[in-house]
Amino acid sequence: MAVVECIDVTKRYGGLVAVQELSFQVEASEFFAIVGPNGAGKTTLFDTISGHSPATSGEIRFNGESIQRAKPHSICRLGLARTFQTTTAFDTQTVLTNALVSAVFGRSGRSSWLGFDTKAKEAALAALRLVGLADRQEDQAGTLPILDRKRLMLATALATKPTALLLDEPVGGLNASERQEFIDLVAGVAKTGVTILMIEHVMKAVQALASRMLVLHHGQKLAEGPPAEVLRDERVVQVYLGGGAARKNGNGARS
Amino acid sequence: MTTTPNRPTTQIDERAAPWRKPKWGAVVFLTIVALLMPWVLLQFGGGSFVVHMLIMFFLWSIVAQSWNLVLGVSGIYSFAQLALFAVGGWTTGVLSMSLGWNPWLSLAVAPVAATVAAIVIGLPSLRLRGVYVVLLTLAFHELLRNYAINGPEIISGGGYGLIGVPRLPTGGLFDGNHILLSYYSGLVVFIIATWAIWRIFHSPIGVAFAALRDSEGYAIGRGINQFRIKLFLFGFSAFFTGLAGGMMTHYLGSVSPSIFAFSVLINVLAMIVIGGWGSFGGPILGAALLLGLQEALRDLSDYRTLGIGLALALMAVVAPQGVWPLLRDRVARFLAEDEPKKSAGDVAGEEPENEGATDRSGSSAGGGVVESTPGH
Repeated sequence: MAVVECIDVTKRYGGLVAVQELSFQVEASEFFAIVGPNGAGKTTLFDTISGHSPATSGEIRFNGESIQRAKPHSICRLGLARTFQTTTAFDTQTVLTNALVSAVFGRSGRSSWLGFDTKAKEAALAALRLVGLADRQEDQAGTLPILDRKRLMLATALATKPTALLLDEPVGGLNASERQEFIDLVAGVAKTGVTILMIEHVMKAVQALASRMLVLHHGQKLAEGPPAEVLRDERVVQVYLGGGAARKNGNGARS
Repeated sequence: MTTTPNRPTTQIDERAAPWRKPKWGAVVFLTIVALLMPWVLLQFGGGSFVVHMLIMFFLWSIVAQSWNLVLGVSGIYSFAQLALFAVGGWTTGVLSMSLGWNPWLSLAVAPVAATVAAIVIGLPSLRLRGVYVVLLTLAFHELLRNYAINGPEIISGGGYGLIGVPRLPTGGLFDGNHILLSYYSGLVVFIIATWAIWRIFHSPIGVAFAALRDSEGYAIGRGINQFRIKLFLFGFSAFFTGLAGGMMTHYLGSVSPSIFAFSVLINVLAMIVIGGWGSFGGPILGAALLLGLQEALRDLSDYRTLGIGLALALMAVVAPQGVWPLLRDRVARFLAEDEPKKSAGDVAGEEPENEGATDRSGSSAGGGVVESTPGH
């Protein structure tokens, strides 16, 4: 059964159609990449799935349940967590507290508002360990360098014990070596069995991680399939990499 | 599963955690001092004035602490706090004076009325942001002020407010001394409110307040139900504020529209800002400082507000985070120096003790994550 399923999803902002009748599904434990030029509607699509900006029409299912009208907090508690394109953290809180608050409120089931239960502590700590921030617990999140902030944002998502993750440009803004480090990290997360949907411009990351990919153009599906196939598709090369890059053999869009 | 090596730290770092153990020694010591204080003070001439100031401190610091939860910790610019204080004051005033209720019974209704009022204004303000919250809550404040002046006789008292509100019956306690009764009932409410707020600061709910302030879109994406959390915040902060308002009315024996004055609003705001915006101890210390400052500047009459304004401006420049965090860091540093010499570079003690939801104003740059969050 599909874990994430979009059926004819449309998102309109006034006269602008950001996402148009888009349908696709992502199977359990799959690594699904979404690419497309700037303004193609990728982040908007994530906003509709995570509930931050509900779809105008169409249906979104998570594990078979319709979630297109659900609030972001309940979608998170169902097990669908996301990261943001702009690296964000609870800046005034420590690294540990960032993970703890996500673990308390983000996991399914009842949690107390007045105490941090053992399970929440374990989830927070496990997430910090996985991303390599367990020895930085005391740092103020606002003071972290960008790579660590990205790790923390991933850790807070993991602390909610998700079954599916939406990663919005996880390696954007990183230099080459940081990028490789983060790709390895995400690969490690994928290995735990979490279903992943990832928006990414960096083709190296897409090729290294994704088993299937979707190309969005003007809010519509241009191509879908295994990266090796899709990236050879002439229309994709034309639209996404540009005519010039097509001639140069299309070696990674923005690197 | 193991792409990152397991670092040596595998435990929760307690210093980084939001929870704290109460310093029971200090709590017990301060409680004993507070309990004995009036008996000692009343031995001296002028002692009863100090007791009066302590009652003022208990009640105003409850208002400042409650408002700080909304303003400092959660970063919601609500200016309805004094109006809620007045709701508490008027509720018990009208019930006990005009309807002849037992003051203890009417006092119990005051926090409930304030909570209901807070939820009524909280609901629309949940959909607003920033300056619009200021406008809406100030409009509520102004509306109530007008009503208190021009409303029906039993509420407005013809524009003078309620005069001659019955005092809380002592029931034979304290030899019928109502100042002592006010002192001890004020102390009890102060301890309960402060304890509850301390608990909030160090539990998930308090961290959720700060998380919503730091970045709303991110916080709701991590499972925080902002509607419920903010409604609780509004209701909770109104509860103790209304109770303090009710106690003030019975203690002074009156409540007048002058409670809505701009200078009163600025005064409570100054308690929070000077004491330490968003910190636990800040508003408590701020209330003490401001009440002291007011007394010190009493001779200046009209210039008093000016003096407090200057103090506010000075604080904004010299110590924007307030006196409390400054003192806390000093003490931490002092204790660190006292410890047996470690290496010179060791600054373990110099890190400000992170009080969970404390620290810094709401001006975090983390916002703007998501395009919009309609429907919230």
